[in-house]
Amino acid sequence: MTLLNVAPLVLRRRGGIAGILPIIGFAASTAILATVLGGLTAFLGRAAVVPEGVDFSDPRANLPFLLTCAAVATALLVPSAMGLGSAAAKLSLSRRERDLASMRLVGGTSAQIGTIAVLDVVLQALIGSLAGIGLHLAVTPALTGLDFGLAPFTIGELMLPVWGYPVLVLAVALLSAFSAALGLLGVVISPLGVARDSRIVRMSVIRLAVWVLLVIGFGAAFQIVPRLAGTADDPLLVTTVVLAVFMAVLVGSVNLVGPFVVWLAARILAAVAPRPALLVGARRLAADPRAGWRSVSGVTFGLVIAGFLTLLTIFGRSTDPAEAALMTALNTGGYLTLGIAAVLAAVSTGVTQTARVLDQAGVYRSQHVSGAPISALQRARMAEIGLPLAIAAIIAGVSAAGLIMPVLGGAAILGPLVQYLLSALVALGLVAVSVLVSAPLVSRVARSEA
Amino acid sequence: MNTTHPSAVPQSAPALPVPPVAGLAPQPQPLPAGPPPVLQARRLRHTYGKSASATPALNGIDLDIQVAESLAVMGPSGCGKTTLLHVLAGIIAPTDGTVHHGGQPLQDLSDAARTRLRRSAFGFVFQDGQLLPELTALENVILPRMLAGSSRRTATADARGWLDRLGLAGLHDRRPGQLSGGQAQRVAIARALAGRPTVVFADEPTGALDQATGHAVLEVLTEASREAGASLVMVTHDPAVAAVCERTIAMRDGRIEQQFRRRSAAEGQVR
Repeated sequence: MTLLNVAPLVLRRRGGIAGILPIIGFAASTAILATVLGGLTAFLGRAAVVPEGVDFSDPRANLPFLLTCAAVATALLVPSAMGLGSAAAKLSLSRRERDLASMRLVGGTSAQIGTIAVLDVVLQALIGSLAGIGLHLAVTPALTGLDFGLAPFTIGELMLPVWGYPVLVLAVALLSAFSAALGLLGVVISPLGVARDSRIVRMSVIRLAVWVLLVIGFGAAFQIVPRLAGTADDPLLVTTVVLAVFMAVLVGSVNLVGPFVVWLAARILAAVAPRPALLVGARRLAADPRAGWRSVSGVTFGLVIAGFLTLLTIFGRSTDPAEAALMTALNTGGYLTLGIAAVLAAVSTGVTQTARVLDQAGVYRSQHVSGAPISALQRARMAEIGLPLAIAAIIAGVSAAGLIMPVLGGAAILGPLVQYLLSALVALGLVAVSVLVSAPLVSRVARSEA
Repeated sequence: MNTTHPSAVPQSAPALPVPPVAGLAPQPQPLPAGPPPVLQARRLRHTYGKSASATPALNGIDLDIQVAESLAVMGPSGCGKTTLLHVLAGIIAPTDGTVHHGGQPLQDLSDAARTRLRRSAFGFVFQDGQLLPELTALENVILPRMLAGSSRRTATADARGWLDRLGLAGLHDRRPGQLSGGQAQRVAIARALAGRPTVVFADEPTGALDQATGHAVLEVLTEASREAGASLVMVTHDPAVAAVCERTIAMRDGRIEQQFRRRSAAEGQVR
C-alpha cells in the first residue's frame, strides 16, 4: 500500500469546529474577493459605456472618478482578504500536525508528508472557496439596493464574468498551497510528533523606516503622476492605475509598520500590566503581533476612508444633481468598504481566536484547575484584542476630530458625525464580539476532563 | 537521599492495613489523635457515565493526608489515581463521599468557591508543565499570585526568590520554549509553591522528562514542598518516583490496595 493510499485513512475528516475553521476562513476570503472584484467590474462596465462628451450635469460623468475610488477600495480590501486566506491555510496545516506525524511513523518521507500536507490544505481551500462563491451569489442580490447615485446595478453587473469564478477558485487554491508550503518551513514533522519553530517574535525597526520611505514616495507620486499622465493617451486611466498601485503599496506599508507598532505597544504594556488579564493579553499579542494587527487593519483603513469621505460629503453638499449623486456614491462606497472590512476582520479574529483556544486547550484547562476563574481566562482574550482595537479607535477618533472641526466652524453636520461614530462603534464592536464567539469553547475546554 | 524503593521492601514486611471501604463504615470516621490532617477523604466513590455505560473510578476511598506529608499515589492505568487527585483537589465533585480541607467540606462549596480554594490553598504541577508559552518564566510564576489579588510588585519579589531557590537564576526572562524540560518543570514547581499552598498536587510530574532530569526535578519538588510546609500528593505509575515520597498508596480498581511508608536508614524498618 503506497503512502497515498494510506493518506485518506490517516487524514480522515473528524468534523467538529476544528475541521470547519479553515473552511470558514477560505469561504469568507473567497466571498469577499468575489464580491469586491465583482463590484469593480460593475464600475468598469458602466465606465466603458459612458458616451464621449457626456454633460457634466449627468451623474454618469462621475463614473471615471468612481472607478478610481472602486479601484482604491479594491486595493485596500484584496490584500486583507488574501491575508485571511493565507491564515486559513496555516490554520488548516496546524490542525493536521498530529496526523502528519503519524504518517511519518508509518514510513512517509519528509517530501511525501510535505506534499500530502499541501494537498490536504488545497482540498480544504477548494471546499471553502466553492462555499465562498455560493455565499457571494447569495449576497449579491442585496447589493443591487445600494445607492451609488446611478441607475442601480443589476445582479449580472455585480457578478464576475463566468471565467472569473474558476480562476478565483484556482487563485485561492494556489495561495493556500503557497502559504501551507511556507508554513511547513517553520515546523519539523518527525515520527514522534511535531517540533515547532519556537523562536521569539522580534519586529525590526526597519519596518518603520520602510513605511516612512513609502509615505514620502507616495507623496511624491501624488505630485508627479498627474503631470506625467497628462502626456498619456488616456490620462485618467493611467492616473487611476498608478494611484491604485501606489495605494496598494501604501496599504502594504501600513500593514508592514502596523505589527511593529502593536508589538512595541504590547511589550511595553506587558512590562507594566497591573492586572493578570492584561499581562496575558499583552504577552499573547506580543507573541503574534501580525494576527493582532490583522484583526483591525482593514477596519482601521475603512474608518479612515469613511471619515475622509464623510468629510468630503459634508463640504461637497450641492444642489447640482451630478455633484449630489457623486456625494451619495462616495458615502455609500465609504461605508460599504468599512462594512466589508469589518466583516473580514471579525471572521479573521473569530477564526484566529478559536484556533488558539483549541491549540492551547491544555493550558486553559491547567489554568482553571490551578484556580483561574473562567471569567479571568475570557478577560485575557478580550485584553489581547483590546490593544489593537484601541489603536484603531484612536485613528478613528482622529478622523472624527477632523469631522468636528467644521462643526466648530458652524456647519450643521451633526448627522454625518453621528453616522460616522456609530459606524466606527459597530465595526469595532463586531471585531470584539467575534472574540466572544469562542467564549463557550473556552469554558468547555477549561472544564473538560484531562 | 535516604530512600528505599518500595519494591525493595521485604516480602515479609507488613504493609499497612487496607483502609475500610464504604458500606462497612457508614459514618465518617472520627479524626485520629494528633494534628488534624490537612486533607481528609471519607467513603469516596466516583463513577463516570450513567446507567449501563457507567465506569466506576473510585470505589470507597478513605484517606488522611497530614501536614507537610508527601504521598505517592500509584497504580496501573485506569485504576483511578488521577480521579482521586481531581476529587481531593476539588476539581471534580465525587459521586459519593466527602473531602475536608482544614475541616472545611469541599462538597458544600460552590464551583466558584472551589476555584478560589484551589487558587489560594493548593498548588499544581502537571506532567508537561502547562506553562503559558507566551509568558516569561517569571510571569508564569507571578500570574497565579496576581489572580489571587497580590500586587505585581509583591508577586514579582516572591517569584524571583522562588526561581532563584530552584536553580533558575538568570533565566527569569526566558519563555518556556527557551527552557529545557527540567527547567520548565522547575518553573512549574515555583509557580505551584509561590502561593504558599497547603497542598501541592502533582500529576506524573516527571512523565515527560528523562530519568536523570526527572530525578533532579523530584528532589526539588519534594524538598521545596517540605521546606514550604506543604503536603505533596503525587500521582505516578513509576515506583522509582514514588520512592521519594514518605508514604505510597497502591490503587487497583478504584480502591487502595496497599500502603507503604518509606523506610529510612535512620528508622531501619518499615513503619
